[in-house]
Amino acid sequence: MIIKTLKFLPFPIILALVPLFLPEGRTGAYYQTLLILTVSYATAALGLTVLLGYSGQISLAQAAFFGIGAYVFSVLAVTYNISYWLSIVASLTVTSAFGFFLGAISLRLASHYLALVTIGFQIITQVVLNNWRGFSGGADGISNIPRPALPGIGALTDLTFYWFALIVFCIAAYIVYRLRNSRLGWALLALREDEIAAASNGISVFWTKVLAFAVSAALGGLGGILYASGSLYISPDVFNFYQSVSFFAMTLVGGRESIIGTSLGAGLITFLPEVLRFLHAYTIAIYGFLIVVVVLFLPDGLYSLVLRGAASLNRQLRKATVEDPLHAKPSLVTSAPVRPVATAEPLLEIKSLSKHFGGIKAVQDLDLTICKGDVAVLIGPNGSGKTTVLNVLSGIYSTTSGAITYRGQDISNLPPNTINRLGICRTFQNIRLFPELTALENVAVGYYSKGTVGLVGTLLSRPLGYREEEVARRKAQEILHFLGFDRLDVKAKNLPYGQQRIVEIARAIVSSPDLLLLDEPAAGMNHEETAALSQILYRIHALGLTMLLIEHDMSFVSSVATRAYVMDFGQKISEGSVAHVLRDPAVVKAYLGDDIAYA
Amino acid sequence: MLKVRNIQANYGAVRALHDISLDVMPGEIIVLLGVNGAGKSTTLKTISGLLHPARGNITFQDQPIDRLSPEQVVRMGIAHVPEGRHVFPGLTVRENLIMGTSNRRVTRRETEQDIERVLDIFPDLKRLYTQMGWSLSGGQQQMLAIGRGLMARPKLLMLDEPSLGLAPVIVKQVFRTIEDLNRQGMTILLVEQNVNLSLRIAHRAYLLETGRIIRADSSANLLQDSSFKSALLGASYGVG
Amino acid sequence: MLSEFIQLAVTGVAVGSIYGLIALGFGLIYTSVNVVNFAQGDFAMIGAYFMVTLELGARLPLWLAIILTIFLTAGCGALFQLLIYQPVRNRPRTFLPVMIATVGASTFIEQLFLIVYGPLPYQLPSIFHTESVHISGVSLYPQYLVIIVVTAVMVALLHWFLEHTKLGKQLQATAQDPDTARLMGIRVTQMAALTFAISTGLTGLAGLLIAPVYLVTSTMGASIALKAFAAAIVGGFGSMKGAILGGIAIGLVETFGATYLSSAYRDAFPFIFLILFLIFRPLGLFGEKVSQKV
Repeated sequence: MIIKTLKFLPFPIILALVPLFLPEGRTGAYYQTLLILTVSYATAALGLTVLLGYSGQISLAQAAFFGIGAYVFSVLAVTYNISYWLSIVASLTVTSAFGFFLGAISLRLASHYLALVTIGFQIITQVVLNNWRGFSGGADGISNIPRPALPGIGALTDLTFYWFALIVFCIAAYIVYRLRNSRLGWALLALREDEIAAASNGISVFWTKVLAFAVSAALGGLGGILYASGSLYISPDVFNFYQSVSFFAMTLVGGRESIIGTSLGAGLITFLPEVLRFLHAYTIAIYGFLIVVVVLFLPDGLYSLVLRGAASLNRQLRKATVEDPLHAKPSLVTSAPVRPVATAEPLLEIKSLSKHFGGIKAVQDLDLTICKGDVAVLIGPNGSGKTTVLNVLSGIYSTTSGAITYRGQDISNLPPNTINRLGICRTFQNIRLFPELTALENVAVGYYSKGTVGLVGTLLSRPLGYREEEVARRKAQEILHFLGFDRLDVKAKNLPYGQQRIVEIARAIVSSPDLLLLDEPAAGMNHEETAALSQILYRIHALGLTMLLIEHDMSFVSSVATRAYVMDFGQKISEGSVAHVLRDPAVVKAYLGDDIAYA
Repeated sequence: MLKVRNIQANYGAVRALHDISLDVMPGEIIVLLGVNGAGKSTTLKTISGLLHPARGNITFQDQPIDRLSPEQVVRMGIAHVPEGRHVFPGLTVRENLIMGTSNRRVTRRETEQDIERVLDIFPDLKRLYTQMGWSLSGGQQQMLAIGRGLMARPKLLMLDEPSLGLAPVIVKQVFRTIEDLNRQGMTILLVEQNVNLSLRIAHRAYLLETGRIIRADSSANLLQDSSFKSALLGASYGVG
Repeated sequence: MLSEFIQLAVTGVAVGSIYGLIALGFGLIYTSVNVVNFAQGDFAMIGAYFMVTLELGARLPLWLAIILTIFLTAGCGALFQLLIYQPVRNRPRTFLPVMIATVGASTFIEQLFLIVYGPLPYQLPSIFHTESVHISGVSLYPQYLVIIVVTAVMVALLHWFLEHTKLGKQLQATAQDPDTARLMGIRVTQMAALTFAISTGLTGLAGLLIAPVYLVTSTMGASIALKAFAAAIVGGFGSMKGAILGGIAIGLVETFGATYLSSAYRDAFPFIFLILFLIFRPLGLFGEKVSQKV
């Protein structure tokens, strides 16, 4: 991990050398303070990289955390004379606590509410900083803010403080980089891409978002500390709503998902007014305009342009032959594996389950038992309620009435992430992969529930964290190879349909669940792909997994299933072996319609 | 009346239709059959303009319509009753019906007359007249959706799985209505899973598989052919 | 004491009505095209500035100035959606980008008006040119009464439009199911433009009504709008009744808080109220939980 990051080394080195090229005298000193400003802004903007870029949440309160960090630090260090480092720790604790609190109360809401609540928080903070004179000194602000005294260097000048700030920034950037590539980071990205799929893979939507909020707030606070210590003086007018918008702009304009992009954005937006000085009155209007244009027409930010340019240059230099992705075929072992025999021990029992939507009774009084080792299939005409059953089983819908017992435990109305942790995994009818994650990362997310290292462990780079990620990665790789898939580093959205299905199945089985729920795995596949899929299901069954699948393709069903249940109008109309139910007149009638003539 | 020639259509990155050609003559009931994912609904969506074909062309009464938006297609006289009914949940039955007239300028009197006509066809809706769309049962919603389609005074009515999720009694009622409408001169393009019933009312049928038409024949011939039905079940076993 | 209380209550309800009107416009756009418009408040500012130009500059009669202002602001709203919403309407995952674009657009619009009208604030005369009226010992500022009456009339009009006209129903149908609306022949692009026009027209009206109470500046809309957003949340997104009641609640909290608790924290009270409210009622007064369909 650390060695991998070394390739980024040129960036801080260049940044560290910048002040040496500044002109002498007043102009140089002015630019020196701007550089410090940029670094502190960039640190705060990194918070938004985590929150907006990774977890996809909106916060327009970053300036509030920036301010809280700056003020708590300054008050402790100046008014109470507490040591520099202790003040930093205390300040970071307070800001992340605020972030945690704000996240916890507002994340139950949809994202638009969240944005508004953060604005509210921003305004409250502003008003409090302006008026709580006893704490903040009111409009007068706080002066004589210290800089750290480092052994052997003494009090820091603008130049040395810039270097100090740069080091702090690099540490923050490393932590963010580390977070992005950790188990938690995968979870964040998964959440951003698809909350339902994330929850179905064992990720607690709520708490993971709250953590992102706390980390983001702490980074905002850290930026604030650098700001306060760098400018030696703070007053409330810096920490207003517009500064929040400005942080937002930095992250977006540069590239919200990229650390380098965000830093680039921070530099650009801090120095832009200097460049545009001749347009003075129009500067802010141009800001606004830039945001609109970049967001609507360049959603990945300016840095994505740089990357694209570099990539095309690289291609031209190497003239690399691009492999045709459609021809990378999964290589499957064709020898039939030994399949376990179904036992009589019930794994999952559904008792008189009903689920109604308004006036529509999607599922009505359904009884169903799945025994250990079964490959049960749920069939029935369109709209007969099969998918609803699966959604209720996996916790996405609540039940209207009835009980679901899994290994003797009532699991009805548990949240999807809890059900996942109990060993029930699923795939979706319309494939819910995380489109921006690679195939390998998608499957590694499936292993989330097996990990143990949380936020603190990740941030402190606890070695166990690396090991767990290694395990998750290796498991993911094994499972994908097991299913005959080898395009590990292709983003899910770029995979052809059939392969997306395979990756989704891999994601569902990587954590070795006991029960696998598959919603129309063969939908949209041609004969060859369907045949390959039944091979795959044989092999999964041979691993000892019990399965419940929904399917329409009867030849596929009769080749894989050990037991069939037929639904019509939300009720079970037949059960038994596949051959048996297909001969059942009630089933034929449900599928093909009444054979009786009508007048 | 409607000519579809060699159309190809994609859903995002997935090719849903490979090569579909079909004709609908005035006064016919045509049914499209096939297993899930064969491309039946996609064909209707491509005709009504919700999707545009990547290749091929569609003409309606000799005018090209494959580049038109759904708003324009329905103005040409093609009403599409979508799969899953899609009644407006927050509008009443009456309001849902009125929405059906959005494809043209109508006077209040015309609207009332058309509503009268639809209520004659679906007398059940009278009793539900002021109820919200979401509170209706599946069958009631289906009648409302078809009624709403009729409010457009279409020359061609496209119905996507009108029997979906309906009880057998209601299904029969719906099919009887479709037949009645046809007797009064309405041309109908039907997508159905209910093979027996739909073949009984249709004049001709097309069988689709993975985005291609694999068979086109008269309903009478298909009804005789039992291998055809088992092909639809997708099973290698005979059925029944 | 009581007379002061009544006076404050009237002020609170009036200011709250303004928040409510803007919240209404906000909710209208949100429910029909799923856009959270952070530039909503700027249309209040635009309305106020147009009124300055038409009433003080062009010296038009009051009624004509008001009507022209509403229509001009609505036109700006339609133009706004053409530039911000239409280009990305058909792309997947546009919710966040459009929302952020409105933040950027808001900054842009405010600066534009600052440049055009200059930094000095304008003062609009109140609609009845008297200072205050006295009713049994309670002295009331007539502009507040105008605001309350006009708001009530506008809400009634909007309700009539949405519930009793075919166009209103088409607007609702589009919001509920855009694809099916298209199959009916409803022109959804026009519906979006109409929604923005009605919404921003209402907001412009709110702006010109409140202008005589505050000063007309380029940032007046932003601070009002933030409270209107709070009102929309308290009321529950997309509920007309909720938006108005939420607005009045916020207006009362702000007015009473500023008088009886602390005037310095005036701007903080609505948001403290909002956060407390969300802790106990996360879906607002009339909000419904919309579950995502799989």
